[in-house]
Amino acid sequence: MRKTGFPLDERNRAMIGKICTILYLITIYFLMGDMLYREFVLNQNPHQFEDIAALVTANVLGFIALMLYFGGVTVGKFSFRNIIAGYFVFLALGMTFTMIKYRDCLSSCFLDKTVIVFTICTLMTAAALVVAYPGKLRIDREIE
Amino acid sequence: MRKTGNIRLKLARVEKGLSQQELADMVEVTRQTIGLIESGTYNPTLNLCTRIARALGKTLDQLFWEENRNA
Repeated sequence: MRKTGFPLDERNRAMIGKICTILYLITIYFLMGDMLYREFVLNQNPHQFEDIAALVTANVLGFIALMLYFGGVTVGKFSFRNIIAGYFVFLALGMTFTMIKYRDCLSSCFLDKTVIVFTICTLMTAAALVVAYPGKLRIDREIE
Repeated sequence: MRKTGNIRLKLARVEKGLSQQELADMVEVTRQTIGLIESGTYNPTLNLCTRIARALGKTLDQLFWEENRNA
């Protein structure tokens, strides 16, 4: 083992990676829980916790993007059918959340909110594909 | 399942007159990692197996292959 620097061998790195992943997911879940609690229990205005929302969104999108790019893990399963299925799951979740959140004004704002949900889901799916494809190319290059 | 440990690795190391720390220094890992490999608690990567085999002048088969292990 090299005496200089912080001694980290493969076992330490794997262990630290596991711990970091678990703690990261716990943190994200707690932040999401915090937002839901503020929104539905404390009835706070979303503007009061939009910093947390931005942090969670950026983190989760970054996490998924980097996982797709560096891991190339799920690329093999990126069939057209799976992408469409994932897109519809996103839409269903988004619409459910929107209908619960805006249940008071659903008759007047349904169309506006639906357009927003569709746009966000489409952008997210497109972004995942845009990141996953270079990752797939990179992995294929490394295999060759 | 009960862990049996890697007695062949330990024997090869002792045969070579190396302590766990000396072997660890040669293959650039910590002493604990060597100890855990010998006790069968940690599964090293193929890369590390190769480095250990080279350091001890053995083949991978001689150190790590388990003939009767059930899958």
